[in-house]
Order: sequence, then structure tokens, then C-alpha cells
Amino acid sequence: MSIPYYIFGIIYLVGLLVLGFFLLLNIYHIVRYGFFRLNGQLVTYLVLGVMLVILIATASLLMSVDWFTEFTIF
Amino acid sequence: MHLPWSTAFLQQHSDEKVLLILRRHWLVLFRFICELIGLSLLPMSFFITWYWLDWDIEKNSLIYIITVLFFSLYYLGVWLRFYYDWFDYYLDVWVVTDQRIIDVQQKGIFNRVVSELNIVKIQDVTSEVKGELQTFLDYGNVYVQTAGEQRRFIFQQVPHPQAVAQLVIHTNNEAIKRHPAEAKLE
Repeated sequence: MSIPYYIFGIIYLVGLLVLGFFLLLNIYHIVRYGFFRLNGQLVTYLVLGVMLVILIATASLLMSVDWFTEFTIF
Repeated sequence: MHLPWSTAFLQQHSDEKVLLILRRHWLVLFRFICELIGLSLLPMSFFITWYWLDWDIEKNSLIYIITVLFFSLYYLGVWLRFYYDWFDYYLDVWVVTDQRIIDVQQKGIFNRVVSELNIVKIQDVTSEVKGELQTFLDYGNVYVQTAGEQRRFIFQQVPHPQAVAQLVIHTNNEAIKRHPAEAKLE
């Protein structure tokens, strides 16, 4: 039985969706309750910036991967 | 000074003056930052082991892909956790005005509890500073007991608890002078 590498990419994307959902929920609360002022904006932009750097680093590390390569389990 | 969320869900009365907006002491936030640093450094032991053992991992191998994806999600999760902790810290707030005390508590992502009490109804205010750290950094709890209820308002881990307690007592006395009839009802 063979599994292509992109399956792991899909699992990763599902994980990203879950994290993204909670991130948006937190941002929504801060904006909704009127706390999106200087401190709120600073921390929110810092967290979003770091997350963006992590995503760019991940993409650049995996740029050369051939996602359609298959590996055999059995 | 206006209530920071007056447009959102709490209406500041037209003749109401905000005296104090309190959050927990910065040490609570500092603990979250230490956690963030600790959790960020944790995978370093894995990378150091990797480097020391001189593992040569091909860039198109399965182990490489899984490692990169795992640590990417791990670091995103660590930062999201920090953001959540900070959000929990930032959205828990106590507001003392010349008419009422408002306690806003964010409990998890989906629960938010807002309680308020009339400043005239306050019966007893106690400040508590426990231990060396709290004494050294001057933070602790302030307990506000209302007349008609068993429940107490607790300002948890707030800076300068004695000064806060004195301000609440002073505001209560002033409010009773302004509204003696309301105070007698209790």
C-alpha cells in the first residue's frame, strides 16, 4: 500500500484551519468588546507577524518537495 | 475617562466618572511570556540532538516533511496559546466608577461574565497580600463584600491592593453621602 506525501500536506492544512479558527475567534472577541486599542493591536499584529514568518519558513523549507512522491507502508 | 467598551455592550452613565480600571498584575503576563519562551526553546533539544548525531536527512524524505510540518504546527500552536493567555489576561478587567463596580471576566473563549454592583451597597472591603513575592511586588487580592448578598467581588492579583481598597472605601463613603436614602434601604 502506498501513500502520497501530499496526504501529510492535507493533514497540515486541516491543523491550520483549526488554529486559524481559534485565532479569528480571539481577534473577534478583542474587536467585539472594544479592546482593539494600542495594546490590543500591538500584541495582535505581533502574533500575526510571527505566525506569518512561521508559515513562510515552512513553505520555503518544503518548496523543493515533490508532493506526489509515494511511500510504501506494506 | 470613558469605559473602554462603552460602544460594545456596557453603557457608561452620562454622569458617571471612571476612577480606576484594573487588570491583574504584570507578573501574570510575565509568566505567560516565560511559558512562551520555554515552549519555543523546547524543540531546540531535538534540533541539537539532530545536529550532534549528524543525521543526514534528505530534503525530499518523509521524515523531513513530517518534522517540518509538525514543528510548524507546534510553533503556531505555541503562539496561539500565548495569544489566548494574553487575551484572557487583557479581557479580565475590573472598573471602579463613582457609582458602581464592574467585574468583567472572560472564561474561556465562549464565556464572558459581566457583573456589577452599586457602590452604595458595599459593606466591607478587604485587601490581602500573601507571601514574599506579593509583598515585594505589591500586588494581591481585594475582596469587596456587598450588603445584601453572600457573594463577594474579588479583584484577583491586582497591583497596589491596599490603595485600591482605600479608594473603594472612600468612593463608597462619598456615594453614601450623596445618596443616604439608598444606603439606608440596605
